[in-house]
Amino acid sequence: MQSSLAILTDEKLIIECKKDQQHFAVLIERYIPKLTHYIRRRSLATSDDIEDLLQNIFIKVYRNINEYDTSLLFSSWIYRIAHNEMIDWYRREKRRTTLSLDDEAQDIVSKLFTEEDHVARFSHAEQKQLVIDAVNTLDEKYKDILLLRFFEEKSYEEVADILQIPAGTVAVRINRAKKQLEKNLTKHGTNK
Amino acid sequence: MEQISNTAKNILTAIENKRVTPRSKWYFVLRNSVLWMPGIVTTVLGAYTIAGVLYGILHIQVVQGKYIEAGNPIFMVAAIPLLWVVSFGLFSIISISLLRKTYAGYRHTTLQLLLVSVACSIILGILFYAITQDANDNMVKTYYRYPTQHQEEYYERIFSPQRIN
Repeated sequence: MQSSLAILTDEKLIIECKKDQQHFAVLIERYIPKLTHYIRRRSLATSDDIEDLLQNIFIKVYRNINEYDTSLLFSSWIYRIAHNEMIDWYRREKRRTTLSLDDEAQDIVSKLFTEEDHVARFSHAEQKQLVIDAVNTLDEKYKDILLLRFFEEKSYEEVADILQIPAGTVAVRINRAKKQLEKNLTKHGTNK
Repeated sequence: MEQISNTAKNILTAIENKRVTPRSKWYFVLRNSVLWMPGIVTTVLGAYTIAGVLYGILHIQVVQGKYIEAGNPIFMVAAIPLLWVVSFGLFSIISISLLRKTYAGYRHTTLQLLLVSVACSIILGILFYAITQDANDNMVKTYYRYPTQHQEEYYERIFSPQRIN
């Protein structure tokens, strides 16, 4: 049964979920790794926190299943719920948003900058902490955009649907994030 | 349900234990309608404002008395129902922020939503003005108090002082 359901698209599964909870189980299995990864990158949450967050996210998905708009990708919808749940979690925990990029930290430089000197300067392993600090001092709205666009590899439209902002705003914010990161990298680099 | 991870099992058990059930489709239809309502009210309010502005500008002599020439820009500004314009502005802010929460509302910028709202208000306002013109004329004839002798002297002093001298 599970294997036959595995070939169904998310959008078909979500429609079938309303009749049969088994379909929902398949969706849960499909999205646990993706969302776990997203939550890990988006926060310094512990494994227990992640489990609680995942539970809250899937409960919200199940409760609001009839709200799902089929013109939207299911993944955008579930990431939107996850994003909002993360914001609530940060509020509850009274923490400042921190991206946990670790090994991926250097990737952001090569993904964001085409200028060779930037890539050469900040792509070394010893510069890892510098890049992490520079990313974490970005404005909140820029952190979300960079994470979704360059690490979750979402398209502009998907990022727009997840964050519920116009697609044009996504492009503008990416550009500004790039400039701010460049400034932060230079600032942190000269302070060291 | 075989080959299911522990996390997935826990989630499904939590859903069962907390007796979570999907909200009815009507709940979301109603919520969406509530979010649209201020947008509709704003457009109608805007339409009344436009109709009021049109009436004020085109019938300025009726409203302001014989001393004021039609088309005088100062008095055209005076003819604008400011209270309505301010209300329209406030309603616009509220309705646009709510419209952004609707299914596709966030895909448009604030400026786009505002322009659509103003355009709808203008079209509807012209329609309102055309439909209610006769009724407005009758209302002004019935209820409008033309200046008293004392007021006329006052206007004369302000607008045509050369006549007094």
